[in-house]
Amino acid sequence: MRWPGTKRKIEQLVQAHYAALYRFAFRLSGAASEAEDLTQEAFCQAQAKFGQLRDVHKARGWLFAILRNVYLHKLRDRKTANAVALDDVGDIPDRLPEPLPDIEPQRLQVVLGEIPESFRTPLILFYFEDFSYRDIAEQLEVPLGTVMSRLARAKAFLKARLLVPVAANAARGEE
Amino acid sequence: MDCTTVRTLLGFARAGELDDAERGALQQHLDACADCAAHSQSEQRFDDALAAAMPRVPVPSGLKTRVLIALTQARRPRPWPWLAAAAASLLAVGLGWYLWFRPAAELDYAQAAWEVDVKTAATPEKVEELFRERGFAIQAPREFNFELLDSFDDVEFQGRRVPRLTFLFRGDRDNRASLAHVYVLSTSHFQGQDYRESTATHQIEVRVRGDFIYFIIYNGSSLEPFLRPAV
Ligand SMILES: [Zn+2]
Repeated sequence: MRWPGTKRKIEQLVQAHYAALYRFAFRLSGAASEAEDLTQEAFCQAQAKFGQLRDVHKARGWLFAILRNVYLHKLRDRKTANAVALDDVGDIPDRLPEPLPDIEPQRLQVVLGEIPESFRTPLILFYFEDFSYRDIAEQLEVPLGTVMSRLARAKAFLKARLLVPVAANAARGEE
Repeated sequence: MDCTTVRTLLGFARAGELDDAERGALQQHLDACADCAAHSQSEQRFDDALAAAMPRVPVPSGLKTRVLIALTQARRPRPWPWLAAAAASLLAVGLGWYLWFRPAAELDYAQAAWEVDVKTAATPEKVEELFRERGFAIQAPREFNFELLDSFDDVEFQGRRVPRLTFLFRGDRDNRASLAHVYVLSTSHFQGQDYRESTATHQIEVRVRGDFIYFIIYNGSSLEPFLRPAV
């Protein structure tokens, strides 16, 4: 059941968050069409259970959590074909090259696709949406320490894959 | 504090999980240890680079509108019960060329987001102009009384987006309102001929006019009330 005003409020949420939600969906799924489906589905679910949103200031996190659940639901039917073991990161430079090369958004997407979802989501949330570790822990319903360790490992993986010379990547037999 | 502890604490510092004393001790070490200071700066630079790259995702145009339409559809799965019944009976009939118009699942009764208040703009020319802006070159059905035009939008119809005009007649002799949907189909996309069908719940009329087919579905006893009075 909905009550008067819900329509307007949900439309305000769309206005405020649709772009961020889409970007999050894109980084999660890696495909524009899927990202759009996820965005629409997330808002539809948000509308259906709008009454569960207690604090409107937490709407963003709430929407992101809904979208992630939609994504996980779809994922369940599929295998995460690309995911590799995060330990398989090769050498991580302690010091990064100077100056740090720009991270190419598309290259970033390729590497994100290689990371298991439970590591990828906190990473995206942290860098993309400026959620605090605590927000992320709350959203994913895992302890803070888990978020930190997943982030650290995911980041190490990214660093190794993004910053090693392209030739080295080619040698790993990808692309 | 040793360097290994410091590397760990840096993670906590980013998480905002250090108290003042811990932060002070960490800073003290960084001031004194060039290695850890360099590591910390390097991490920070990587964080900044990632934070810059992560949101660089182009958002498709029209996404917001499509989300709003999806929400409207979700809100009203059956906005017009009599039309849903009509769609079902259309399926049941399934005769000859008429299958072309088999609208059951495809008909989209959602109100599209760009509906405008036509009370100030209800002329065939104005409607054509507004559709032209949306990329639809159409000929509006001029035999209709545009003072009764309630809304218009583009909807999904048999796998295509097509213009739809909705005319609302508020009360005839029985004092019952009736509604006519006019789908404007291009003859380059659809084949059809003049046709008429009448059921207990609704009427269908197909009018071919030059390059366009008007697929009209309405309730009420006659299309007459929706048409321009003969001069
Ligand atoms: Zn040190």
